[in-house]
Amino acid sequence: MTRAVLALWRREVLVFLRDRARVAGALAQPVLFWVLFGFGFSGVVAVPGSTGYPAYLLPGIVALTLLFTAIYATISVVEDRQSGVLQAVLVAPQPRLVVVLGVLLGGVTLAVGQAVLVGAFAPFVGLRPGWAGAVTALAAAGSMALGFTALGFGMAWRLKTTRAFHAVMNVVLIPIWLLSGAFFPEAGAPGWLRLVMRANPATYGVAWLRYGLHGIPDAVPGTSLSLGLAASISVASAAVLLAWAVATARRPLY
Amino acid sequence: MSGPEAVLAVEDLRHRFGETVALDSVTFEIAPGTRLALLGENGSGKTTLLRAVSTLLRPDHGRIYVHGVDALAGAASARRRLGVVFQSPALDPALTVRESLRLQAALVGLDRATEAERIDEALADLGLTDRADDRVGTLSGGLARRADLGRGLLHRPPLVLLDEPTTGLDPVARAALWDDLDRRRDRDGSAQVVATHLMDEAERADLVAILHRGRLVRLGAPAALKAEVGTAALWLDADDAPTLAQALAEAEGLDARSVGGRVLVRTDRPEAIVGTLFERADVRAASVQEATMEDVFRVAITDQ
Repeated sequence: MTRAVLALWRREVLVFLRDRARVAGALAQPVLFWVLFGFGFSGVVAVPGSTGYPAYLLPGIVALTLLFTAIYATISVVEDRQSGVLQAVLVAPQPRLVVVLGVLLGGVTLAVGQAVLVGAFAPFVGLRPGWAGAVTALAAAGSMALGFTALGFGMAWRLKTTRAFHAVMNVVLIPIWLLSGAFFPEAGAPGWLRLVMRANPATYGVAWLRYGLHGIPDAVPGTSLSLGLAASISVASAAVLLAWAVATARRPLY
Repeated sequence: MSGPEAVLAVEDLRHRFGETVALDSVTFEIAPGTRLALLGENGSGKTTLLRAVSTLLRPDHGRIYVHGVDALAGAASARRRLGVVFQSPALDPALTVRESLRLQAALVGLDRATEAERIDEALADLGLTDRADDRVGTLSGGLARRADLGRGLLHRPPLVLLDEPTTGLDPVARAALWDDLDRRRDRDGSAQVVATHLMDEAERADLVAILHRGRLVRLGAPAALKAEVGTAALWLDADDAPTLAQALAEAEGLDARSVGGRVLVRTDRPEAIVGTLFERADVRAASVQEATMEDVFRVAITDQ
């Protein structure tokens, strides 16, 4: 079973790396967003602390990278179903859990790899994570990537075309990102919006990321969540989404 | 031969998609090494049957035994005993042929030593050794199909399911694929269930099963099925085939039926009556032909 999971993981990674446009797009888009939004809004959005808006936005852009790379990695499930590759995997003598784990592991690897590249811009805007902070940020990225990949997998299993996947994901992804504290701090938001942001599991992952990229201080700008609470709820959310993806994969394909 | 001895035994299989009956009490079994051709119109239930046997679809009712294993109770165990080749190659175009076979080896649980040996053998058998490190997306349709055959049969299962495996192939590639299938059957002794629309492919089978609206309406060896139609078939062209068929049946006592706008008269001595029938005013043309699999198919679905 382990070998089958690793074989599926390897395939996800190989297929991604061989698609140059996808590799370039996955990296260029968040960096472009960061530069345009970060510097474009730097005089408009008031953020706590002294690091400035580009530094505030960077953890959010890392989250955006995780969100898009992880979820769009699972579009392979829809494509594989259309091409018959998924059916060929499912008629192999492996439990469906193998398919879930192989695809998720591939998506998490790609998302965290891309997030590390984007996170490497931290020193350019005055963020000094240090080793402990970097490990914390990696753990946060892994947790968020697992949750997002599981969400994408579950949706992909239910949707029959890539067009439907894009449509649904656009409706789901953008609000998840905008309402996670990635783009603007909850402190300045109206009460009802703050409630929505607190109900969004991504909020806790973004806060966890902030602690990591800031080098694990006692408090970070833009959130009142503690590191422990942020990490706990992020991990719990990822676990729930993983369980949902596994349960969804038990549904019949036809 | 009973369920556990057959390489595939299907018992009273039924399935519906909403109000549409996809499989209706389908029962049959095949012995090891047998090739069964599944014939049927589009929507007759061929693909649904193959999906049920390959455990991709759970039927509403019935039993399926693959090499003695109850496929509904132990799906993974049954899948270990079967290989599936789909209508189009189920290979990732971004992977090389060798990478695709390695992935399959891991999925079917071959150990490392067997994996290398089987992959080299499959590549040599299929004439793909020179293309082993080329991406699947760069192969011609015929070569991609052969690579997919290598994927489906890599673990040498006792039962192979093939869903219209030659669709879209030119005659040369089609012949090459059938040669591959013949060689694999001779070497591995595997039973093959081949869904097809092509009558000449059905002729290559030991048994032919004809599905119509989810029901198994014929099952037998090609020669036996043709003999049911008549050793030779007498076909009449008429402006009003149903009326002519009825007249011949009622007035002449002939076994006549309207099939696809023509009248088929089943008789052991067509030469003896063809002259008389041709003189009738309502008969435009008459011909006597050896019964073909197409005659068998057309009669089978017209009888229903």
